[in-house]
Amino acid sequence: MTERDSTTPGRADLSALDGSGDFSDVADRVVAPALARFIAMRRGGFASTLRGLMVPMLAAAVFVMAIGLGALVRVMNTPRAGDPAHLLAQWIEAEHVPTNGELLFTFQGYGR
Amino acid sequence: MKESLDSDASLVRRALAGDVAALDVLLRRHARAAYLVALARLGEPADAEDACQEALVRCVEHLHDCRTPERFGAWLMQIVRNTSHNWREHLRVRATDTLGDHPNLHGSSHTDDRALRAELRAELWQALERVTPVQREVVLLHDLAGMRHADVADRLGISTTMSRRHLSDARETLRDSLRHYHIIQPDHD
Repeated sequence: MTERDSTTPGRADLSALDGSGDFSDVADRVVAPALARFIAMRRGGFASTLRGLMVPMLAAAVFVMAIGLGALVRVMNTPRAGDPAHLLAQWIEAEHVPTNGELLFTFQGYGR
Repeated sequence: MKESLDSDASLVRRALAGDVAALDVLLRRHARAAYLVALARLGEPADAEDACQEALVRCVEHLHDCRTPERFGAWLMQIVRNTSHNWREHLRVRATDTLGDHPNLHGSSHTDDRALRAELRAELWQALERVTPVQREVVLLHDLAGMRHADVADRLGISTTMSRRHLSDARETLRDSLRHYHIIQPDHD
């Protein structure tokens, strides 16, 4: 709606210049690509967010796996209490000279 | 100050938060003005539509750069002006390349209303080219879209007084140019 303004000269009929007829069709055509771009940007934004999250998540997973693997290797390499090698290491560390009995008892399985 | 839910500022913020419906409302609200600003710069409806379309896509891509959402209209119209300027340059280059292929230059068999309308449009555009680009925008938004001076001023980032002044000057020039076409109407609004 336009307001009356007595000081301005009469208006020209500019409708021939427009040519758009019912503007709602034009509005549909000009707005649709912008909305499509917006939706694509949102999808792109979500995907890039996911991509951004995946790198640190992957790094964290590798770190946890490395710790787990290290712990497993350590547990597997830890000598058991009854193990002759473990006892031998303890004797050396304590500078203990084993008796014949201890040797026989410890290495009885190796005596053959 | 409390912000209205359907104000430009609110719609911009909702759109930035990912609300497609809000963006749809916002763009449709300004589409007519954007189209007419492009038309004021380019003169041809089809070109204006293309430029307007491109400008709205740019607007969406740079929405986060809209620093004053309450002035979204003026911000969008600046994008439309820039896009129209680029479009005009593009058309100028293309016209130079394909000058020989223009149908109007070879004479056309179209003597129907469409041709007459095209002729009238050319005359109108010729007359409008005598006024400044801003005056063209004002006269199209006010006289063609039927917008109030306050809305025109808001969209174009000028004062209401300047909007009135531009309209008056533009009409004066148009009246002189188009007198023989008998398309000047008394201002009934």
